[in-house]
Amino acid sequence: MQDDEGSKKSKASLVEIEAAIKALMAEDIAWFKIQMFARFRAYAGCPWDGDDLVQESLLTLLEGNRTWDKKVDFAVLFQGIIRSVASHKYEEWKKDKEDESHVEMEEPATPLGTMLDSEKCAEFLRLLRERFKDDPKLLTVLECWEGRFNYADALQYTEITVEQYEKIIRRVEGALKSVREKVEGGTK
Amino acid sequence: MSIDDKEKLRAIYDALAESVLTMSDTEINEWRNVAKDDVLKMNESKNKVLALLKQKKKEECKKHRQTHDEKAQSFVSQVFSFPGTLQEKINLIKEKAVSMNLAVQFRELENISEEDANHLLETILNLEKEAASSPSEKKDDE
Repeated sequence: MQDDEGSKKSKASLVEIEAAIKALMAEDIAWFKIQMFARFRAYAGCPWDGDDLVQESLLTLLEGNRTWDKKVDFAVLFQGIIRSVASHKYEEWKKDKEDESHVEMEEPATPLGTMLDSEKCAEFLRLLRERFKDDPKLLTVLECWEGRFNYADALQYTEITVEQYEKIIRRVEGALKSVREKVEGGTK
Repeated sequence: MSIDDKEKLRAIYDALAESVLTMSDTEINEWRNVAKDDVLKMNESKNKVLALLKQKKKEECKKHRQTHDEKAQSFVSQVFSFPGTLQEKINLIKEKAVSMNLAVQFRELENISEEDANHLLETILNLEKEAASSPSEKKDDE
């Protein structure tokens, strides 16, 4: 009984959620991180773009399908919801594509079409590696990412500094953008 | 082989997403300064979030209003039935007249018809209802 009351007290109300998301948006760096995180999560397999993913994640929270225990940092909770919504949406979309009896879903706003096309994926990876062929450290980071190494393991394995790692993140992001345009533009 | 490539590409985007969260404020600031278009788009995204919050609040208000109205409606539509006999009605009129300080000639009530008793009782009950609701109306006016 006491536990129930305790958990009720720590669960956030609509007003508290609103205040928390507004506070998050007011912090330029934190909001940039959330937006970029959502964008790349969407690119990793979701028919929506990052913007839609943020909206849908917020809606999940506002409608009470997910609750916020105020002991948890709001930004961390929101990242978790984005992760889970993106993954759920990907599975749903994939299932729909594989099952012909399913009703056709909306066409993706993200490179999901590329993600489901084996040839395009192979071409994508080839162009990406080619771009960094003279940078063995960066290629090693890519290998770590492909192998789903966590952040600490990737740093240890590649023997680079945090600063170098951060520069690599931005270089890869830039490269992914232009390679994606090339791969998708080439088939139009 | 091809499944591997798909998974590898997904893994790269996933890792990129997770890596962004670990980046230092300095690096993110540098990135923001370069990615002007992205920052602009993110500001537009804020407006969408605010619009969503506003819409959700409206829906909540509407829901509360509906619940309130339903409650109020059930209160207003409560049905009262008059006593069965004429004498009981007369007794009730007397009782109400005393409690509400109404000027009524009790003697005249002894010869009253059933129809007049009903009418009088209805008038008294309406007066009582108005008196009960007037303090909150005053509050609303203020």
